[in-house]
Amino acid sequence: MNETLLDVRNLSKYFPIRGGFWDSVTNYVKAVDDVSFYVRRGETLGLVGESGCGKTTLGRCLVRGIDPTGGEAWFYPDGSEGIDIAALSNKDLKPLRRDIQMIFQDPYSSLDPRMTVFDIIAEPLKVNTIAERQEIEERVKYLASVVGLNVSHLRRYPHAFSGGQRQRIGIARALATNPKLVVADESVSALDVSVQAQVLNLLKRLQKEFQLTYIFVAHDLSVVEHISDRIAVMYVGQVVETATTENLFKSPQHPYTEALISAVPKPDPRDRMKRIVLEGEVPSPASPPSGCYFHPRCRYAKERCTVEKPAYREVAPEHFATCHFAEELNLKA
Amino acid sequence: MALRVLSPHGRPSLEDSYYMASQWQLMRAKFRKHKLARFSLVLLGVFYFVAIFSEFFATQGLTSYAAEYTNAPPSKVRFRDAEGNFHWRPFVYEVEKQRDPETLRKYYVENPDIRYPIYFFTSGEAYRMWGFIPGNVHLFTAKIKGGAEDGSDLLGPLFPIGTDLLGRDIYSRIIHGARISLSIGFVGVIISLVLGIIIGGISGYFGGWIDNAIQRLIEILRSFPSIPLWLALSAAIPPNIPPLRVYFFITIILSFLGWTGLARKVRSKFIALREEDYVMAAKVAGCSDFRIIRTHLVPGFFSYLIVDVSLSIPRMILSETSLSFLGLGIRSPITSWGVLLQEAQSVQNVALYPWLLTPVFAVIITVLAFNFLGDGLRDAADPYT
Amino acid sequence: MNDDVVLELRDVKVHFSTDEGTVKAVDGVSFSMTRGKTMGLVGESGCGKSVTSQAILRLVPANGKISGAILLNRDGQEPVDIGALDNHSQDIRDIRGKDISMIFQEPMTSFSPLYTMGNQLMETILLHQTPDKSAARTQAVEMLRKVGIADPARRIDEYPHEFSGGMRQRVMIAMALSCSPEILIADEPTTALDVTIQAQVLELMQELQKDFGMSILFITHDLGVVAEMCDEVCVMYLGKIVEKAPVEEIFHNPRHPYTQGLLESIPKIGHKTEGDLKSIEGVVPVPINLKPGCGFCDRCEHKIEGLCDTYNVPTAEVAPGHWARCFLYPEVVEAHNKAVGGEE
Repeated sequence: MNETLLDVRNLSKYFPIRGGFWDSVTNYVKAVDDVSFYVRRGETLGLVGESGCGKTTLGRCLVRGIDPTGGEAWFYPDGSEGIDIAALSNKDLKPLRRDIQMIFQDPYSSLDPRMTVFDIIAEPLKVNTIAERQEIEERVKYLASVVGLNVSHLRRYPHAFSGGQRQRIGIARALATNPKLVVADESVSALDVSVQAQVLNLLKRLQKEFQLTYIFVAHDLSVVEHISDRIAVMYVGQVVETATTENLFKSPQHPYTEALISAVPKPDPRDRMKRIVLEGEVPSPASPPSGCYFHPRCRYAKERCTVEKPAYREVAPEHFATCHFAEELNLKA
Repeated sequence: MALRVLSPHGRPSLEDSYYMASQWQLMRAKFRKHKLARFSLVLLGVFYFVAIFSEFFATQGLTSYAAEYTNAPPSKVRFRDAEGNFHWRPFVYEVEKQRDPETLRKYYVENPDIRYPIYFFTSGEAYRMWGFIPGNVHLFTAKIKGGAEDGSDLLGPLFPIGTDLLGRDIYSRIIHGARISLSIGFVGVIISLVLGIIIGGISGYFGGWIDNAIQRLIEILRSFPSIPLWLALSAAIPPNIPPLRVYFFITIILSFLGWTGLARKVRSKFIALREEDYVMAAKVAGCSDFRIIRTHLVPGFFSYLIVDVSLSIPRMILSETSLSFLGLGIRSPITSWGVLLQEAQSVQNVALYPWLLTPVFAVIITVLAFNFLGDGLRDAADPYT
Repeated sequence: MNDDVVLELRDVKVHFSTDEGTVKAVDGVSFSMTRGKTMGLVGESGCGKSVTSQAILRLVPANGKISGAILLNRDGQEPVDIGALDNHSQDIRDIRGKDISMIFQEPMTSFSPLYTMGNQLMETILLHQTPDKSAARTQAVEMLRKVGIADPARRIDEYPHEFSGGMRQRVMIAMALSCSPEILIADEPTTALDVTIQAQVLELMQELQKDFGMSILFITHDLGVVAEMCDEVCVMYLGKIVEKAPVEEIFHNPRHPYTQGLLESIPKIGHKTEGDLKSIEGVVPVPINLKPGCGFCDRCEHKIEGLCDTYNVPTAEVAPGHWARCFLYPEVVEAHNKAVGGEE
């Protein structure tokens, strides 16, 4: 099972900033900036970071909801032949759409309010001509029951459902084409905690049942820890650390990861310890600082960090970090 | 909030019908709550019905006049005659023109010797409905059956809101004018809507320099002062073409200037909807651009367009009225509310014969009704908030 | 009234009349806040926690009706029942901003973009404290310094759009504290912020509480934040407080099945659990035309047929300082019997 399903190499997405009299491009927002990581078949890769770090943009690039500016994303659907999904034209992409699906953040805006639940779930089946009319009906009913929706409610419109149920509809739609890779973009962050647990459990169960591979994009570290096998931490458009969940929380190799873990409030009043409070704010990806992007907020920053950009490198087996001093700092979670 | 309140566990009986309600059903339910808009809708329905069958509702034809009753005041409809007898059928008396010996002003006095009973759904002046179906049944007519010398009915002077200086019944003329005034708004808006959807859609979908060029063009069109532009455009209408062609040209002039607002609305809605997550979801699912536009975008902004349409119609009606009032629009013998008002331009006439101004109320009521209707539709247009 | 109590709510109800019926957003809430302490109000969306806070300042929307007593106990003055004040009276306006102030979730929309931060900050000071503009300005600069804005004398003349989300929340706190209120109501103050910024703001609030000695009513859905910030906690469900206890008790000895379910359904960082999270099945009902009985009974695994779904549950002290609204505890059953007996 250790084979790679998706291998992302130096992927970038720049948004032009236009300005001036001629509306010319004056600068770029480097939303995703030279990102590399891989995802193994059947695992869940968590993608965490604060707002504006580029995790959502990265997720949307991978499903080609938007087109990346540069880099490669090799996808191995059958284990042998690889396809660079970043380079495919929209037309060549079409047969691959069914293999890579997405679950959205907002359970309200991600469902067309003018379609019945049946039509919403059936749409991917219809446009990819996966099933005939008769089969569509059966398949939609099957999908609905798999995600825990009442089959007799399929003729209803989305407004009849609560946030958690809507998210189940979105999940059923994503699973309709039997995808291999599912990008879940903040899929539980809009939900109340009790409902959030239901959806997380559902996602885990479906992963086993359908041999799914997840890229789970979220800002909530405790949720990511719960669901992920490995975690990639993003900061200002870059991946600063990738490791197995266990290693990341036991021995983070990047000071940002350390601070991020420490900043999460623990649901236990006996655990009130001194947090590492980061000074300052997340820099804008339009004008990132020199050297290491994190150095203005880093409490371990040295001269070298302000001038030299650290490389993304393997600091321990299976543990990647973008820090000059990863080995020297003894960071703790 | 409203939606969440309506949903689960509350009333099981309502649940299903609410949950299975499509967008249009929800809109209808929401619209129904807006009393003023509902009333306006009914009122406008009546207006349009009257305008469509104007020959039946009017008592006088478009070109007829009664020379002996010029500038007559509204007729007095009576149930009790001069002797004090009560009649179930209302009637009017013959009126005769008199002249004040001192001021030389004309005035009318009733002649109680001749009594014209009012009949409903009865024959009167002959007409051709829509220009080709012959008929003579009117909603009401005052006449003495078989009173004329040749044995036919003798029509009496029934002018619900008086006559103008040619002796034309203003009530009938308002009804005839309604056909032009109300239809010009409708037809004009349909033409601007088609232009607006196509041009605005192109602008919103392709973006880039096409979008830029179209937006600049719209801005230029909108920055023209409208009255001089109308002047110039109506000067281009040849002077001696049939009135029906004039009507046609006027409609085109109005919609030529009216599409810009709609095009902008279409474009902005298009761009806003394109950013919705469900459009991204459709793209990821593998939908083609055409399918996305057809099944997700167009139904999405259609409800908003209806609002805009209902608010553009009164603007068109007012434009036509102003144009005709200035003498640039429709010309007699075809009549519109603007033409009627143009005939009431003289201050003297208005002072002596105030009923000449009644077409103004027709315009005001119609425009208000459309605005209330638009208000109600706006509230209903987005039933998901 | 005990002098240590700054604010006491007694059976406060907020009912909204809508076309579909009466929405009982807040349905008989009672608690009291101790001077200088932090009271947490937790619950999921729609449980009535925000409406409760709006009721304290009489800010509920026009179709809402407030009943019950909201007693404000100011230093050396007779307690005032805020619930009985006229909505537009001078009295309530004096209380707003001066004795009780509020910070909101959305730091982006809480400021007018047309005025400088200084203008908006000085407005409260001019209204309640000093009519002198230059004195107000000095005080505003000082407040900004206290909430950790660097170079406050310059930044006071900047507009809201020049501040980041975290910075705006700091200015909001400065504004709320500028008149040294007795009570600060914080309605989800860090929900819109990133975790590292949230950590900054929470730390700031703790420091300021030490300086100013105000009581904080902290409204949030985030149990982690509650554990960090609060001394006492009320858990709300469907417009009612289902459990009220000191923070240690809530997290280590929760009594109400809902509280237990909530705590078990959140993943805990650093304690990765294999397998499923425990979740509460079902959804929160809408508080409209509710049947009598415990609002949670349809989702509760300990439901007692014929009791939980029939009678409204009273609240009783199940351990010292620990109140719960659940028939699983003999104290509650006793309170219920007494109430039913009294009726007969």
